Amino acid sequence: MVGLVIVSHSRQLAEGLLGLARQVAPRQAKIAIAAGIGEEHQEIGTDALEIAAAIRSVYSEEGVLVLMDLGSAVLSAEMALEFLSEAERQRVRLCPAPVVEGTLAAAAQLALSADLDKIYAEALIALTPKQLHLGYSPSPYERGARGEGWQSQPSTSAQALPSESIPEDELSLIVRLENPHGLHARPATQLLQTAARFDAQVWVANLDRNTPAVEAVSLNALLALGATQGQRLRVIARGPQAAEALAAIQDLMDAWQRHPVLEEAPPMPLAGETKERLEQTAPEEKAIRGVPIAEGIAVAPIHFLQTTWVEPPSSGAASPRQEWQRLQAAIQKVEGDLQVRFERLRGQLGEEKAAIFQAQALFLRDPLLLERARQLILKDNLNAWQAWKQACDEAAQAFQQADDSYLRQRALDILDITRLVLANFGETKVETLRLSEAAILAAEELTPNQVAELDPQTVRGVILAGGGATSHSAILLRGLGIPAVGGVDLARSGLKDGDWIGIDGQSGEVWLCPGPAVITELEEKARRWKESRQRLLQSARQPAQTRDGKRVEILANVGSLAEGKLALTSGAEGIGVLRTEFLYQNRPHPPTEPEQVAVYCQLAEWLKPHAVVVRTLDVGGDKLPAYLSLPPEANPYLGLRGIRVSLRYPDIFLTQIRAILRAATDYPIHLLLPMVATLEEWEQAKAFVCKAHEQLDREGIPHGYPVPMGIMVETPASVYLAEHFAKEVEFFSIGTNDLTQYTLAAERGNPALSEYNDALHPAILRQIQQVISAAHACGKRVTVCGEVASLPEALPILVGLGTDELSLNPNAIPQQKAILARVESGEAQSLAQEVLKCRNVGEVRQLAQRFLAEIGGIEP
Amino acid sequence: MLTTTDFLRWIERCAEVIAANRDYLVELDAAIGDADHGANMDRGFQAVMQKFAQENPAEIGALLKTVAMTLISTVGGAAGPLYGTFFLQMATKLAGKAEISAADWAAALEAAVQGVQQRGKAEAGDKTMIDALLPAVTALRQALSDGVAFSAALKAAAQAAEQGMRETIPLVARKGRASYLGERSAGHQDPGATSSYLLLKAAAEVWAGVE
Repeated sequence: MVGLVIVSHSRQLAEGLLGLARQVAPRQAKIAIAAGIGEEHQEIGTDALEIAAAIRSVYSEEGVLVLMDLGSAVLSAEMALEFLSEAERQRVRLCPAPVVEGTLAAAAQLALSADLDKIYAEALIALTPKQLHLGYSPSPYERGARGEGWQSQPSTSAQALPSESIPEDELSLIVRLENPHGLHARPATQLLQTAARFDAQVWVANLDRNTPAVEAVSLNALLALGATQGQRLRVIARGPQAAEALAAIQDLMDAWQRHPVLEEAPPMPLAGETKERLEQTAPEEKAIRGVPIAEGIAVAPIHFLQTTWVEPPSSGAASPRQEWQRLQAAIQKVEGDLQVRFERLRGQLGEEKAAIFQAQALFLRDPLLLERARQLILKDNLNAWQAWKQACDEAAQAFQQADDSYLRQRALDILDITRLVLANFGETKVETLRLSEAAILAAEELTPNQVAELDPQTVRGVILAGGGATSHSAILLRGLGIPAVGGVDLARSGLKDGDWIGIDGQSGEVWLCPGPAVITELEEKARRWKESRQRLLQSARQPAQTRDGKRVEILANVGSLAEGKLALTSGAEGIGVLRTEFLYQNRPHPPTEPEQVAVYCQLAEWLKPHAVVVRTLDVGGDKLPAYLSLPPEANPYLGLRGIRVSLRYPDIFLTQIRAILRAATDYPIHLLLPMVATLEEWEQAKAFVCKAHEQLDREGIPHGYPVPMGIMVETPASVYLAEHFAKEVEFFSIGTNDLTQYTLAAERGNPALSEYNDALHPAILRQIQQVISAAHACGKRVTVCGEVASLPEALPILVGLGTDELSLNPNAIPQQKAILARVESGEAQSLAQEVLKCRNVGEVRQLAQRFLAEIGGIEP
Repeated sequence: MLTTTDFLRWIERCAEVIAANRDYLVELDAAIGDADHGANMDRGFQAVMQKFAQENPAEIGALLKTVAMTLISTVGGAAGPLYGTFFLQMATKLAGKAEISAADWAAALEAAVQGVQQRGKAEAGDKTMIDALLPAVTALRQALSDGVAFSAALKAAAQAAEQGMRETIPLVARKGRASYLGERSAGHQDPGATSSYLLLKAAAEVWAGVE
């Protein structure tokens, strides 16, 4: 297939255009972009070397068509040809067509033709439909014959059929177009792909606009018919399969009536989509694009996270009848989940791609599978867990032995439903995270706790099938400096352990089986990335202050001992939030008091003389340890979590508070309570602290008391009550991630809502300001700790609002310190006053980015 | 005789001069273009200097090729491929040489300017870099055939480039972004011609003592 290369000054433009082109191009189309300049390609410009590389990445004997915007793009594209071999150059064509129209026309043509000349010609006339629509003439279609400018172009098969030349023997039919948006690019592509399947020539005319008939081999010609919903089309076919072709087109148009084909935004590169694209991807092909999670570059052999199934201890068999009912209930629940997932992803990925979840639901109801499971329960006395596992294993094995690759892949669907149903019977997965050699880890998902276990020495990078940028796992990956990309499911890629893979966690690019040249290049980039990270770390030792000398302490969010060490090397001026969950997860019992004392003291020892703010256990939602048997909740984020859990488990809570007070004997330790929404919660927690103190006193155990105590402000309730809290607490810590999700009523992990989860929203900034003014009125300090504290553009705003401390992932500390040093506090205050008046996030970002650009603070 | 070290000094000087005139070039470009020429050129030459901080070029051809490739992938605007071609042509002409004569320099400069002309398809009077470069080549050739000392010939070339640059002021642009302005481009000095002049002036300055 002919390859396409899009050259633009603007990376965003090229990426947008690539998305449009992918909508009309065949799935296996090779389309590369070369756009922007500078390390991140974010600056405006073109690079001849990048263009040459892009051409090579899609090159084959069949040739490459290069479409470019203007000015230097043209010069650079010409120059790129000089970097190709003579043989390659012969097969590369620079196309003078307008870049958007030309690219779309060429992309659609890829499915129909392997002929570079033809694709080139089609792209050249791509402007015609628009000109025609807007009444610009002359145009070849308008006159039903070729115009003058037209003749100088290479020939195209998109000829208009003069009415007098339609012979008697053709067949025709008249159909009404029912597609809501008319015959736009995607339905037109479907129409011409359908026509191409038959040994027949097909023409289409728009009777309502009285157009001549155009041959259904040209997307442009079909678009130029200007057919809108409700208009009548005459479809004419001639040749041995004329009748079949007409029937197929009739079917297609009927299908449009039932399932309209709408123009839609390019789908997000979510798991389902990439999955399918990967099936087509040959080794050494250009990078595919996932979702950036954690910046950095890595290239190494791949290691798939192995999952083994362990039967939960509680799953001993009840009566066979009960077991069979248990299994049916679990299946029914999964069926419901799949339907929900289908509905949700249909909007993002389109009916066709989301349909995978409907197909899985069919597997669940497969009569053979169910019958087998029933037998295993009733006759062999297995319990529900064992029976389902065995029945599925057998079915998967049968599929795995099939010759047909399609059927073999169905084994993975079986695996999926096995997993989904078994998960209903309790915690059953065991996964090995310790790698013996350096590798890039590929997994469906990693829980925050799994991430915490990763060793950055061996885990060079992570590729996740799911993953959103603000999940706790993502935060941790960034903190550990492990490059990561999400939205790429390699399960069906055909790759196996040990195959090489490269990732760029900033751009989201993933290279499957890169060739030696790409490996070398990526290794070089990875080395440079590590070096620059190292340099920043070194320059981060100075105390954090603004240009005019106002101190704003920059602290670290820490969620493991490893991160604590990282905080030290990043130049953190203390730990702003010690997330203690890592002590509690993946173990049968909560941590003991001495164990906790040891961990808190170790961290405090590393960070001294700076303070360590220990946050008590914050679980619920996605972070639940097994031994806290909380009842299942419909809305975990609005359920038992944060301080609410601790107050229900007095023993666990008291143990932690005792450990914190004991660690405070020799170190500056502060105590932070998560997600306090009411004054009653604060009072109750304080009572626990008094009690712990009294116990320790009685037992004669040395400890620090009182320790400074503060609350996490994560709910609008605590914002509105800040005046009252300010009289009670020693400090506030604003958790912007949760505050944002609760204020905007948008779940953090839901990829469909990621645009809501932006803490620079004026609704959040106003709340921060409210908390700060309440706190400062009583002489109390305020820390901002969510992800927002790591954002360069947020820094001057937070400083301007009067934040006393920022607590962020250690990784971002050097950069934020560097920016802080360029901010003048008075200017930051004016900026903060301005952004508080903004109506939306866009306005806030614009102001903040302008401010940053003016102080030259974008580049760390 | 010009040696590899002389060329290194020239390029270093170019980087200094471009950096010193960054804002001036931006200002010129803001009037009739997209206000990025100074920033682009400065970024390019700073990248070149970083390259040379890491590796020492073995000979003149290799040195110029490094300059060319770096400018191509860092400058961004039309100046990227144009100056890239300029240095690449020069590199081809001087490949493998550790020292060259005045005549070699003249031939290399001529090849470079021809390359730029072909790449940008500009003629004299189109209000482009060519308006500074072409007169410089002519002046250099003339001076050398008159038997003038090399340093004086370089000076003559730089002066011719300067004059060519000033003469772009009344011209109407016919190439590049400035051509979108039509008549309104008249009255402004061309930024590309200005940067070309700066490079040739740098050569005349650093090589003033070369025989």
